[in-house]
Amino acid sequence: MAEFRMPSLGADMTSGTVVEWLVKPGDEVRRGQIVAVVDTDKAAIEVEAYEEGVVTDLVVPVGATVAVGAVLARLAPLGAEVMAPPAAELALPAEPAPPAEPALAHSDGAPAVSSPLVRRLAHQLHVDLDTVPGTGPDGAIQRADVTAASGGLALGRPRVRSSPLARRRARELGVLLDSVTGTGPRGAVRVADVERASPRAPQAPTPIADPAKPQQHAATARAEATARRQAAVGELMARSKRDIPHFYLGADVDLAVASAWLHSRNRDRPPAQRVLPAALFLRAVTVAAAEVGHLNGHWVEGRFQPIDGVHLGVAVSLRDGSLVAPGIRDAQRLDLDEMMEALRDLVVRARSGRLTREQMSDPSITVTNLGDLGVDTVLPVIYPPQVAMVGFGRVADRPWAVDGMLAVRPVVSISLAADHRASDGHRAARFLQAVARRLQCPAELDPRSAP
Amino acid sequence: MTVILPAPRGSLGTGTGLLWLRDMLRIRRFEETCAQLYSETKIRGFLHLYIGEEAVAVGTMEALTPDDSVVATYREHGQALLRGIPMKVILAEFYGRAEGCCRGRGGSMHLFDRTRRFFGGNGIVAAGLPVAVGLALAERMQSGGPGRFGDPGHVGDNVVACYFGDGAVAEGEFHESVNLAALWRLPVVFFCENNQYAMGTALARSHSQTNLAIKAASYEVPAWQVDGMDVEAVASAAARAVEAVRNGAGPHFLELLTYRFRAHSMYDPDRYRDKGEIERWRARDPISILADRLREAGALDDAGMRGIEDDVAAEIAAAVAFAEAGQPESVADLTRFVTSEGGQP
Ligand SMILES: Cc1ncc(C[n+]2csc(CCOP(=O)(O)OP(=O)(O)O)c2C)c(N)n1
Ligand SMILES: [Mg+2]
Repeated sequence: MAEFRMPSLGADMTSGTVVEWLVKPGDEVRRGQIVAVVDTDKAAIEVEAYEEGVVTDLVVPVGATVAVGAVLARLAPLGAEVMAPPAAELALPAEPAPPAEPALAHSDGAPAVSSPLVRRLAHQLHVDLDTVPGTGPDGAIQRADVTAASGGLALGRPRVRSSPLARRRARELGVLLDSVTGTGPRGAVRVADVERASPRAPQAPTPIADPAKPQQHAATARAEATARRQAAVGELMARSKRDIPHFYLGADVDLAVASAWLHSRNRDRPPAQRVLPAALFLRAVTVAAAEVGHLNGHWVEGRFQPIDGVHLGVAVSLRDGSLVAPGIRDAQRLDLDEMMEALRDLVVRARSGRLTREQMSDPSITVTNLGDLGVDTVLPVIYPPQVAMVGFGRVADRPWAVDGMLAVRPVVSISLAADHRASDGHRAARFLQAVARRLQCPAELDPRSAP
Repeated sequence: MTVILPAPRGSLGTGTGLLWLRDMLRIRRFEETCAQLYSETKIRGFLHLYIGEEAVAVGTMEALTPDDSVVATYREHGQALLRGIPMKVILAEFYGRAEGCCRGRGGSMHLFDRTRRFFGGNGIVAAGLPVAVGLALAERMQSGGPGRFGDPGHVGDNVVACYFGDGAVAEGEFHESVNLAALWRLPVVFFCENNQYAMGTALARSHSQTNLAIKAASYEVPAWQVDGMDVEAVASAAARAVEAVRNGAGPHFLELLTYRFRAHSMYDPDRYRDKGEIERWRARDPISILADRLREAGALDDAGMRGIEDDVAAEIAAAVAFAEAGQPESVADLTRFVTSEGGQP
């Protein structure tokens, strides 16, 4: 009886994951025939049989990772009669997924390694390289790190590393890549991870007769949860648009001073203590909301009820693509570092489904930042019962007149949607002005940095 | 636009045809075994297979004599076998054994045998071209004097056969080498193995002019395209080109249109090629084309085919046994040949 083994396709390949069987027991196999697809650290590769025969059994199920040389399938001589084994035999327990590798941060004090290309990209996106954790070799900062950090790392949709085959498989199985824990290099999602995340084999015995056919209940359940969330948000937004007489104001704000200030503030700090522009925006909104009345509060029972503290809602995109807007309670008490910390915590908890009760209680005003998705201007829809929402677009270099001369400045477009029942254009303009002014005096947003 | 010479039908001596068939099968079956040995971790390092392109090496090398020189690429197992390096010595080299042609130090990409004037595989794309032009200059200087501008070319020079891929034609070294060879009318024949891809890069993605013969022709080098899946067509074109070079006509260039049936190397998922495209080329398998023709001509039947296959299988089995029994070089020899010992090891 011949054995078909996990091939070694390179000296650095020590194991492989069977991602697909292209034969089943009873099938005749010819020399050179592609019989399986194997995922390695590098790529998914079709592997061939070196002997001919009839498949008697598939020893390793789809999704299992085995060492090079392990028997994957057995072959009887051609012409032999082969019985398909009961499906249950094939259901090996799935390997537990190793924890995803944490993203590397370049070591404190050491200069981050970055290529000229990365530096240029960082410059274009107004990302302070000192604040970016590098995920490349030796903590080198790579393009993806910069993109991830642009426009407020915490608010953007995270980029999921994945192999092309994993992406295809995810589509086939209806698995959302964002929801999968990657076990590949630097947390990349591999085919095996996708299959683990889907309800199909190897968790459940798969009938061997059709090994490629996905079973989809978990994916379906997840899709249903997403749909329910979407419907609830839709309902809320419809109510908002129906009941709230929205009006909108916008202002473009020069961030040259703020960027420079943030850069020098971050320079001497270890990565974990560095602050992103997003935190500065939140500070500015908080201070302005506390300062200008009629925007921070709720519209209930036909009247505006101001709220004492600023409970700052932050729109966060989840891995399934939907949005939530949990809040930072009493944001007015937080200094800049605390704000940054609160923002990180909020995003991490929102994405992992571990928001605290406090974070889930109704905010008094909400901020949404879509700049990292390339949006110039956001026209927000207010979350009832709130009466205002602030949008930040992307920080982009724009021609800007300064003292009668044309200059190039990093500029952000800030917008405000407000409820005309609770406030008016005059108050709203004062609020927007306050935000803009605060951003011109960043040091004041950081009481600790005051001399 | 593609000019493919028709195979000169009827020119096939069936005796020669059977030899070609055997040679192509030797390469094919040997490499199939190598792929298996590689996946079993017996062979390490890189392994680039020639499967599908056999007619190119077999047809072109038919035109060469033992005094001619050969320079090849990292996909050179076929040329090495045809040049006469024993299969067992080649396999021992892949195994990293001291019995290999380079004492196991070179591996698949660096087969080399000076006594057979086989000046190597080469891991660097296009790096063989200047080597070949240098060898041709040496031929010229030893036979008639230095090559120089306006040199009419010498009758009777030995020829240097230089193999390289379509990818090499996109390198500067190709252009400098062909230009110099043409300028000095050196006895080189350039065999471009155009298998349509340089790793995952399709020809049209890296060449503004995809007819590579036209590129070579711009250096005043006679150049044409040949159906590289038809060993007869290859042999007749190579015979013409090599004869011309031998007669002092200066360098010639053949673009041999071919295809590798397998991935670029063992660790290549081969996702850049359409399965249908591979199937279309497989339908033009050089071995089946020749075998069918020989059957048609009554020179081959099932028994004859089985006989060849059996011979080849026996040669491979002996090579595997030889390589398995081989020994790694002793550590004491580690620093030998770092500098020249003044002769052939
Ligand atoms: C100078 C150089 N650049 C890049 C490489 C990496 N490389 C190895 S093989 C290859 C493709 C070459 O394609 P081609 O010349 O068409 O030969 P083929 O592999 O198709 O036979 C490349 C780019 C190399 N070995 N050397
Ligand atoms: Mg090529």
